[in-house]
Amino acid sequence: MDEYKLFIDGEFVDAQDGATFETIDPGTGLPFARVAKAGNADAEAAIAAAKRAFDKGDWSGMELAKRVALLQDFADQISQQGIRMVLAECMDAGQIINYAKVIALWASLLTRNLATYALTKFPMEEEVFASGNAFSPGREFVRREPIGVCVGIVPWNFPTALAMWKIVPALIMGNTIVVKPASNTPITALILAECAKAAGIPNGVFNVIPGPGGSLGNTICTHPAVDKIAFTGSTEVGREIMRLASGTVKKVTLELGGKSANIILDDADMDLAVEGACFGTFLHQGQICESGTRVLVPSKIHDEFIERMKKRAEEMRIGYQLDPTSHMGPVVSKEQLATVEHYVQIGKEEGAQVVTGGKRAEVKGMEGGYYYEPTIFTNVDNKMRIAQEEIFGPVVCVIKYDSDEEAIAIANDSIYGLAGGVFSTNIARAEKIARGVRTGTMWINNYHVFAEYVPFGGYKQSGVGRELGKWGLEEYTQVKRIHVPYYSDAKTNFPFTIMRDDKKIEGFAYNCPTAVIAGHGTLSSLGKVAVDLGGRHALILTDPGVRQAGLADLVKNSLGDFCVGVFDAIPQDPDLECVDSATEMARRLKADCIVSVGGGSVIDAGKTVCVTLKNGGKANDYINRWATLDEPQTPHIVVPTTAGTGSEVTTAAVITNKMAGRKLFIADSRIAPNVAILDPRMTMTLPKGMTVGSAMDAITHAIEAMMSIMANPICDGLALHAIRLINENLPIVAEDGSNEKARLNMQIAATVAGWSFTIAQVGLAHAMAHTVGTLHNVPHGMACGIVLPKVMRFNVDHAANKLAQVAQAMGVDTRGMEEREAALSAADAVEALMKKVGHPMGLREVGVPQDGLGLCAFHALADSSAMFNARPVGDPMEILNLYTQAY
Amino acid sequence: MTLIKLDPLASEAIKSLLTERGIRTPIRIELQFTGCCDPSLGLLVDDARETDLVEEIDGLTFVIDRQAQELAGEISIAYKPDAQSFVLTSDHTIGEWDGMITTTLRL
Repeated sequence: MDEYKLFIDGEFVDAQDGATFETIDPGTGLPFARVAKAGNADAEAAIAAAKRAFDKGDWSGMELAKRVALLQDFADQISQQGIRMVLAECMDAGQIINYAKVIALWASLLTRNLATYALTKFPMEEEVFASGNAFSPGREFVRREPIGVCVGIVPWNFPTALAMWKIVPALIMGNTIVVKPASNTPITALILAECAKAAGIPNGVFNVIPGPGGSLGNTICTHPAVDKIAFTGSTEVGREIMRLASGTVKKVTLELGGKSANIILDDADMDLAVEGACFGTFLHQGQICESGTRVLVPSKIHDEFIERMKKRAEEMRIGYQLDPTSHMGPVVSKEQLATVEHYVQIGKEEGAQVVTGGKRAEVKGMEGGYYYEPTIFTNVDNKMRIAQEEIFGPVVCVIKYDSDEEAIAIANDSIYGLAGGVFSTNIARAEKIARGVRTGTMWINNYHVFAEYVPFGGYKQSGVGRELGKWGLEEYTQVKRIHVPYYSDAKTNFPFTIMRDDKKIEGFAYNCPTAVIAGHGTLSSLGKVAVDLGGRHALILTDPGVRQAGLADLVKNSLGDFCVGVFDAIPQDPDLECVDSATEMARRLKADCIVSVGGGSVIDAGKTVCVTLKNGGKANDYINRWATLDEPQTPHIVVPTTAGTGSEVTTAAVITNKMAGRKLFIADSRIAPNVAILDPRMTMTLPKGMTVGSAMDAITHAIEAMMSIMANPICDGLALHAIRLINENLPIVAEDGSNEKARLNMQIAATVAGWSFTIAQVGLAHAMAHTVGTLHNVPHGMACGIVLPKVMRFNVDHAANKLAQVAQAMGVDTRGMEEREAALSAADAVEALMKKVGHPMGLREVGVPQDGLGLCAFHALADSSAMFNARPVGDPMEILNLYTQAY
Repeated sequence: MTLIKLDPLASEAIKSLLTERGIRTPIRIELQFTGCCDPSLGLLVDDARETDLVEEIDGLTFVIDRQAQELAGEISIAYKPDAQSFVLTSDHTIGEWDGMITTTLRL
């Protein structure tokens, strides 16, 4: 009789207590090998060896390509041991030679397929280019690292395959493993150990300890050095393993029982369905967890189906597993045989009818073997024990049904959800049913097909996790994310400001990629700009007012044949619905470029259309998401018709979300428009009210950028120049809207202020303006102007130096003034400018009800702009006070 | 020949379950599958069959079919209060996980 030892730390050794056991050939009932029986001391030794090997790093730290090379050698060694493995598999597990003859070939394929996949396609390290966190920019990357010491517990039905499903991904990913094969079938795991040693896999990386689960289980499932357990076996045992593993929070993957439904539809190819039903349930004597042991058959074809399935089952030749003419071999043990018989008895007592089989099979010359006839039960109710409990033998329940919905319901009426099948000549119908059944695998017109690159595993009490494919590889890794910030500086770390009073952020990144073309007649550049951006199908977005003023047509004429359409329904405060409508039009017209013609509303809508058009879905999929885009968006050209928004160069888009009751943003450097064309002719007809309102928006941008906790010298310089330009040119255009030079200066001021605030951010004035805009329809610029001076005074002790500079830019002679006095004079200067140009001075003038101010205060506090305010804002009463002052 | 050894805690647990449900039927020890691979011993409330072996212990009636008894030998029933389940072991192991796994009394 052959003798086999344990494999621990690279050596074949006896069990420490000298215990051995015999492994039985189920075809004869006779022992054919003696195997060392591992005890707890051996389990401890194997785990310790695996732990040492892992910690040493020879394997876990080895370059993946080198591990793969060694595993390829392992695969070659398996090929060399092919015949031994096949014979061992047959004699140990009772597999028929017709199946087992490919075991070694398959094991080599699995190893090579998964190893090469891991080397060439599996993302061991991934950059996350857009993290979604705008407040802590930096490099984010994710590494897959080994889990550590893995335990693979293997059942007896497919000892080689189910061992390899655990060994190969564990080793590829740099783990070490201790394999506990089933006590009924220990041999092939030990041959694999010989292969591993011959291939040069380092000592301790791969260990094999055959022994009874009842005595080893507690040790291997609770040992603190074990990081992961992969188990295939019964649900009862899996449950206990999960419980034991939970004490040290081990990672666990379980592949457990099944009672899978093989659904035959009324349009199935009958030959295929009968063959598939028999193959699905009788292969390997029904000792397969995913077997289709409930065959669901429509009432109208039931009798014919049963007759044919009975005939086919009775044609199966049951014999010794090494006889190449055998279709079915023995079940694995006498206990298994007795349990199958017990369930057949239960089925009869429950009222089901045996149409064939239901008894032991006689195999001449093999009287000691454990053979059972393929057995078909009809008249089965899905509530019966034989339909609910897994009978791990060649026994199938045929259940009638009358509709596709009923078939799905019966299939799902099980605590298990491992696999299943659908047989039909209508693939669409079969796929619909497959989607309705809650299991991990559904085969259509087939059964028992596996492949290295597709996952296997169960829903419900059929298991946890997946084996094979990239899903299986992932189960043997840990995910580590590494963050390297843009700024390694305490004073530039935004989250750190939560725990300090001084909120000022020192460092900054200036990234304003928009190209600006400014001057009289620059509309002519549109064609060239579109071509340079790769756009030849431009959709113009605009609002009804701009359309009516004929400005959109000027742009359309400049674009010529490049223009495919005009969407002119952008409202004053663009919402998700208008963006979706514009996007739908862009999709229909196959637009590859968006040209926004209008003020901030149109431009912000345009930015959102560009994102939605590029990425699919709806606008709501992108709103209130910051720093998530990792590639250029649909090209966007902007032709402003106002001078205020700055949106033509900024990295934010503001959209009204009615469900949220407020304005929400997309904030991302990739939504800055590609090109802004500042042609003053586009603003010549802007009415005085809008001219003044939008100018106040611009000056608020500039002043708030200077006051912001994110202020920086580049943005300060831009802001101050914007303020000067507005102060000088607004009174001119308010008096004489036809002054083109002043109009151009106002446009430039708005753009420059945009560059300033898109980096430095705005503050409380914008938070308050957004709120009254959303709740009371106050035009944005107008709202900004009304609240700005109040906010400037509110901030004075936190931004005195900056406000003093603002005062100078506003033309105030601050010589001889104390800094605070000069700062306060800036607010006075703004109010003076507002009065000069006829801007409303109070919220009551623009229709805001006084009793609405309280609610506005709460909403303004929640507006994200408030967080950048120079003076920290946490009390809604402070904001209410400001609204009241501005009333 | 004793067929069954019953731990006092297990006896108490079984009686409590039966009383809760108002059941007086025997307890069957049977061979069962709980999904993939090894059979194990299970407990359920069931009527006796003519061919069963019967044993009365501590006021409880246990039944087992002859084949199962021949395979298993003497069966010990213990109780794990923290898991609220029973542990069944036997002279001859039925499945290799005997002793580690627990089972509930099926009513």
